[in-house]
Amino acid sequence: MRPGFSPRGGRGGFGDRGGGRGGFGDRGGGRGGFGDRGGGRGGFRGGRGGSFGRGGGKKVTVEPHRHEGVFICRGKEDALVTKNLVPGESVYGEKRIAVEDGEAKVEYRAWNPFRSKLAAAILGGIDQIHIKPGVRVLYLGAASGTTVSHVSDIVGPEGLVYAVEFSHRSGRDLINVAKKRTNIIPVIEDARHPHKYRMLIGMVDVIFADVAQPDQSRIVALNAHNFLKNGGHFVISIKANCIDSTAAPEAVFAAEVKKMQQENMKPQEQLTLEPYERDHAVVVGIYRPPPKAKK
Amino acid sequence: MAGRRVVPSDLLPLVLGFLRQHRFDRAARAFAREAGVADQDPNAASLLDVFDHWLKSPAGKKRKVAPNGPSSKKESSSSSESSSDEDEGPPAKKPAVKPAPVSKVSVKADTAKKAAKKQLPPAKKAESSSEDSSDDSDSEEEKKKPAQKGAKPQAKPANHKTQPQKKKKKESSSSDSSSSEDETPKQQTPKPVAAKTSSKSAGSKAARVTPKVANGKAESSSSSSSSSEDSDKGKAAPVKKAVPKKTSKIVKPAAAQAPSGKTKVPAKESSSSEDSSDSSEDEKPASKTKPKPALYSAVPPPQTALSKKGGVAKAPGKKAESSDSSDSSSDSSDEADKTPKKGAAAKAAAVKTPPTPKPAAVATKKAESSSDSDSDSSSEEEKKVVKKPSVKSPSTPIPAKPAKAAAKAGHAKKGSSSSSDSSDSESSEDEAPAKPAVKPVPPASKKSPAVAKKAQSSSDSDSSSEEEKKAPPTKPAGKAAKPGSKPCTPGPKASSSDSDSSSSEEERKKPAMKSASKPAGSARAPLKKKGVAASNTSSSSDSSSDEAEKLKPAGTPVAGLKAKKEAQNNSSVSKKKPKSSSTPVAKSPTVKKPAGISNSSSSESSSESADEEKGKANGGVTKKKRAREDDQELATPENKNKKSKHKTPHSFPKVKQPSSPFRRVREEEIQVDNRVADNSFDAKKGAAGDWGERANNVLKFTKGKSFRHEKTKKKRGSYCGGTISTQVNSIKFERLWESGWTPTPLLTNSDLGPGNSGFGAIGLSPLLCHMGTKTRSCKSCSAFLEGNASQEKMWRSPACNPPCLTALFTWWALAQAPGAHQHSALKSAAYRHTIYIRGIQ
Repeated sequence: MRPGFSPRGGRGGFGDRGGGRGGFGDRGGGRGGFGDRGGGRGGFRGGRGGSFGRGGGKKVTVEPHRHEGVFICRGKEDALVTKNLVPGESVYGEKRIAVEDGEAKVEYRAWNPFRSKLAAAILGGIDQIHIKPGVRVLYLGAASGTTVSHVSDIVGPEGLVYAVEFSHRSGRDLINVAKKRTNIIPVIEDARHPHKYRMLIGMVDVIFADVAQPDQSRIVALNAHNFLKNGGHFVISIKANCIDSTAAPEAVFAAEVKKMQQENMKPQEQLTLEPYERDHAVVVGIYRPPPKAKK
Repeated sequence: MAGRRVVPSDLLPLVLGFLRQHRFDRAARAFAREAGVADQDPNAASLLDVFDHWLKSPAGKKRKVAPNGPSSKKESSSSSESSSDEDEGPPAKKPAVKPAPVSKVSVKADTAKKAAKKQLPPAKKAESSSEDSSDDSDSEEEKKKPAQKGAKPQAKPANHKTQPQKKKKKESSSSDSSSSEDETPKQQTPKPVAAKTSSKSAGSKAARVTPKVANGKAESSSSSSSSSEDSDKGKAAPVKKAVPKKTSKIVKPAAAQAPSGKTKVPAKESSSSEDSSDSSEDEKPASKTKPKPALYSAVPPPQTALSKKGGVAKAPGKKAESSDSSDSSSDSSDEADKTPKKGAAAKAAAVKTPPTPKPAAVATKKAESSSDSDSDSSSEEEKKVVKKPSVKSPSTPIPAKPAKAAAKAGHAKKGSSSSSDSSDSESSEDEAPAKPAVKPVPPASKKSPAVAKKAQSSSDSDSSSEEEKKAPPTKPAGKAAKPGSKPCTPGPKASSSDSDSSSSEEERKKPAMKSASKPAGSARAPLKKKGVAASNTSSSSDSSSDEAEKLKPAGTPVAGLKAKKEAQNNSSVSKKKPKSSSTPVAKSPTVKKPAGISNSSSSESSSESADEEKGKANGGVTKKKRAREDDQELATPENKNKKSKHKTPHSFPKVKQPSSPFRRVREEEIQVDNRVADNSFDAKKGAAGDWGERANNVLKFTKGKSFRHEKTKKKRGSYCGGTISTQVNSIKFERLWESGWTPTPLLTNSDLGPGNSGFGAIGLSPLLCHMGTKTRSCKSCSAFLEGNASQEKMWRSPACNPPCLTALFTWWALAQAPGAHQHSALKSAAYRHTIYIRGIQ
């Protein structure tokens, strides 16, 4: 059940997030959990033996989401999924759903909004994530690579994901993910010093930041100045408590938005991550927008 | 040390014969009355010693300290008597004495309340007391020259101390006892009694363990003192009764404070003035601390006053220095000094007046109240000793006791020795404690009001006490009965006491009341500020001291009693004047000190006190500074140095206070758009039926660890949210009106004239939602609109594409609102935006 990190040996990379890991295996037989709801087929959880929760899958249909590269698995219970770039591999123990599309068999991976802020933003109804197949994404705060793996699925083989993570422990798992996914370029460096990895990264179209640092606006701005193209976009997850735990979250967000505006980053939309995260917000904006053409 | 030894040797036989308080009260009093003054004096001294010993014995650790303290005090007093040696010896001794009382107090506190908390406060108190004692010693040294005068003042201070001790802790009592010992035998007798009573009360309190007991004791002491005075004079009872009630009320607050914030108070005391200035949180504690300093200062001041007779200015200055942290304390000391100087008679008068005030003061702050009560009791005692030591002590005790007995059972304790008054007061205190016990809690919570009330009551009580002297007997009884009821409402009590005192005092009282009332008002504000309480207490003490001073000028103690009464009868102003006139040297110091401190005593002082109060309200620091300044003016360079030292430490904390905790985001400086003002899930668009709604129903009730726990469960994948919608729920920064945002209307509904339901009704919002994508304000856009222009025409506007909000509004209003074009605001807007509408002008 931990194919992604099993090579590493005993220590799973997702120790910290691992609540879900054991969970799957245990639930494998675990229809019990769903007993009250009726058959195990109800949700992703059910899985027979865990590998394919949607085992029968016949009742399941996958339809594309408004965001390109993201899909919705329609069944008894809907789920957000991405098309697995590496079929047969589960990165962090997430469920996989195989759908037979004619002759071809396509595998999707469930994307849990409680684990990924990007998924939470998508489920929350954000207008644009600007991450779509073929784009180059600079991912700041990649951690163990759970969300990065889904971003990798979205951008597909034509896209690139530069995953920057400062922690070596998390970086170890991130590297393992990158081993299986060729469109991920792991960078184990401090995002505060983009000059240290400037030779590794080219111009990007989108910056996704989940760094949860008091100076994250500055960090994003530094990287945007170095790697983000004019008119590129940024998606920033703001954790209010990391900036000022005493102030009201709304005030913190407003302060961050103001900082972005001072860095040539023009916020376009904001969305709360409730209920998936507490006191979080996602801000999407554009960097150095082109002057509006007056007709 | 010699003084101690001497006193004990003299007193021990007597003390042993009388055997503590109970015997003293009953048998001893009768003996003293009948036998004569000489007997009483020795008895009193012995009683004081006994109390000290007792105090020491109960508290094993404290015992040692207490003996030292008394001894030191005795030495100082002896030194004061002998002008030459006074300077060096007294200061050291006094500090030692104070610590001992502190320790005693701490022990009591421990028993009564949490041992740990109480202990801490005592320690703090001890520190403050040590400081105060040092200051006192300084003042004593200065004052030593006037040995005789000094002796009397000492006695008064001792009394004050004893009362404070009862209320707050036994520390004051120890110091008081020492001072009393130093004083002449006559004076000593009264004081010792008070000390004994206090010690007894403390002991009883300790047994009770609850703070209430201590409070009750203090109250009872104050009330008893007043009652004793009343009985002596045999004047009108009703007025006095009101006063007693007040005192009892006051006591209750004090008790409440003591129990609730005893620990805090000690800490505050140590910091005293510094603390008050520092943190708002400390306010209550600060107020308490302030009172404590006042008590300490009060104790030392008397000594200084005694010694000062020769060098008044120095003593005040020293006091001020010692009290640096608590100006009020220094002030009180100054006052006390003044009183001693003036004379025993003046002291007696002061004592009488103080008793009532003391209770109030006690309520506000244990220390203050204790000092006040002590001074009162001491003054009473002094009066008795001087004028009719034998007669008064017996007579007063008897009447007071009966009244007390009726009111409460604690009177028996009062009976101790010639200082029956003091004993009575103690008994009353004991009684009061039981009643106060319930009430004390509210006072504590209300600390500020209680303090204010206390301060007021203290000032009032002074006046009332004077009146009480005339008609004491009835009042005490009334007081005892009333205290129980009064404790319930601290605030009313203070006011009632004021009114009572005013009524009894009549004309004279009125000025006092005014001053009192002013102080009370100021005191309330000060209480909040922390420093105020201290100032109030000091003011009360000052007033008492002033009275005492006035009485003193009158002449000998015996004659002084009558003279004092007369002076008291005279307006407070006149009293003050006499004081000043009596001794030029004393006058300047006394007047200055009282005024600087917060003198509620005289009507004249009332204005001063009001000013002081204002200063307090502004900030405890400012008040203190003012007091310090005053003190400094009078005081010697040493005083200034001390003050400066204190100030610096205080100033640092104060500086810290202003500094706010580190914040990256200052909410008040950030304008949060209404659209993003609520980050909750429910406030989000499309929340209903959202995939996360079920999760929100669970998670919105969780916080912290529980939230993480619930979230972890959902991470496992068991969560089922239903269908996923692809609706856009985010908040767009550019499209302001998309989410119900309404721009500040250029025109209000009323601007469009009657009959117009406004923009909303007209349907402007949808229009804006459809058209508006620009929020920037254009100062000079040229949106061409022709008549009831269609949107296509609108978009033609060259400079404003899409049209700015103002242009849009104007256009829409002109197009839709009949007669809107006639509105001046619309016209101007149309002109600015060069909007032309066909058919308009």
